[in-house]
Amino acid sequence: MSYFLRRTAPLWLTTIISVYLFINYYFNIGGLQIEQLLLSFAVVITTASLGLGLINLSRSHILRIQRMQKGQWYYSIILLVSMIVTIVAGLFYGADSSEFTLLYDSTVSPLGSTLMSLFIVWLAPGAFRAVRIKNVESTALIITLMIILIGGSPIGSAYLLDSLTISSWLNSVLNAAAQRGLKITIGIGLVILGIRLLSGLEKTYLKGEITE
Amino acid sequence: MSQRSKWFTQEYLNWIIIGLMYITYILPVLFPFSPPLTIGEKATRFYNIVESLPEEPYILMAYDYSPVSYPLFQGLQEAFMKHIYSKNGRVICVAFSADGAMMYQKMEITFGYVWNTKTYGEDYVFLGYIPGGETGLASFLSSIRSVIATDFRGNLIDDLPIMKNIDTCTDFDLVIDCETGTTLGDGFVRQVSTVYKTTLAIACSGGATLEPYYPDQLQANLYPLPQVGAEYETLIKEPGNASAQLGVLFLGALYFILLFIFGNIARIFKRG
Repeated sequence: MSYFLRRTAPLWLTTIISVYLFINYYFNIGGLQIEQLLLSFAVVITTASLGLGLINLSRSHILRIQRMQKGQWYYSIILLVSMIVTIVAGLFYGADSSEFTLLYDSTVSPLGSTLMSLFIVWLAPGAFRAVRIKNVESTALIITLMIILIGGSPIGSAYLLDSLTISSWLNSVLNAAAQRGLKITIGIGLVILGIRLLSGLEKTYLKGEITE
Repeated sequence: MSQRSKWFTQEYLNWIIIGLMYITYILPVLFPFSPPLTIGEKATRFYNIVESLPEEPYILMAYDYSPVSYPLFQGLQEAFMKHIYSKNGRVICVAFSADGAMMYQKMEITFGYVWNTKTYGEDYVFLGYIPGGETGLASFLSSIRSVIATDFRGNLIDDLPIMKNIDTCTDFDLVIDCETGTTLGDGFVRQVSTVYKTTLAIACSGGATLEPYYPDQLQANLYPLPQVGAEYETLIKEPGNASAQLGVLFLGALYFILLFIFGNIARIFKRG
């Protein structure tokens, strides 16, 4: 493939589309239909990428089985069989069928609940051993933790109404301030990424088999 | 203390803590009780938003949570859906996470006692899973018909009476998103409130991260779950699933607080 098709064309395409969407958002140049079309392209591409993911996953696990990779090949068989059974159930019976729902409810739901339950089981000894008052910082952390726990549970709402006020203040003032800082930082990062994309400086998405 | 007996004590202590935890969670299931409940500002605010909706409002309801979180959302969802239907609302359901489609189907069973009295396609509809994260959401909100042609059951959306005058986000009176963590929370704020100025409510287990948007861009931030659900059930005077969980939550939280306290007392005694 020529250098133009590999590098120059995608760069120009990205820059033109980005500039167009940017101008249309702020100055409403009347390209709503094109914008909608581009957005629906994104949905189609994401759906197609799911299919691509399926192919990649199958390829890597088939390779593992072929090589009889130690300690892993039998997990790959389980994965592939589960994947095929789910796809077949979805394709032949439909995603809203009782067969597909049964498959989901008897695997994904209980597995998720089991993981969460295990997490809580090991959190309890952790709460006894690890949450320790050692210095000023840890004391402040534990006091905040207790207030949030009491305020966010029926204990505060039933018997300790003052904790509700304090926990609400902690959430809406201290927490909101910290979250706002984080979100602004992420926003600035995204603006910088946007500028780099607009100006064609951001080229990481062109990596892969391209060599200069 | 020898290494062996130290290990023995530590191991026993773990099992005692875990055993007591099981008892704490099982007791309120065997002997149900409901601690007194004070209705908070978040539930009241959302209740008032639903109350102020016009007659026959159109609601967009997004299912974006995983099966693990289903018990947290069930009570709240059923409560506000009943409230919406008391105003003859029309609910258009959709999922932006792959698990969401399955969660809608679960809801169809548990909320069947209400939905069975309603007509599919007229009072409610499920449009299925829309992939693409925030981009998919933006595309869906700008024009539903440009993204999908049929609902989850394969009916053409143009044939559904509920979809007759609905195509963009501005056609909805209220957008509600129920999600685990904050998968799309920020995205909903950016795409629904910022672009279309439509009233937005998010029920989220990690609602604290959305607090900076509340109440200007996010009109209702519903957390902690399921307590806010129990409060909503009390507001509509129909105690249900969320209210039934209060006893377990009460004892569970109390147990963890006692663990923090006794853990520190034990440390003080150990140090002498």
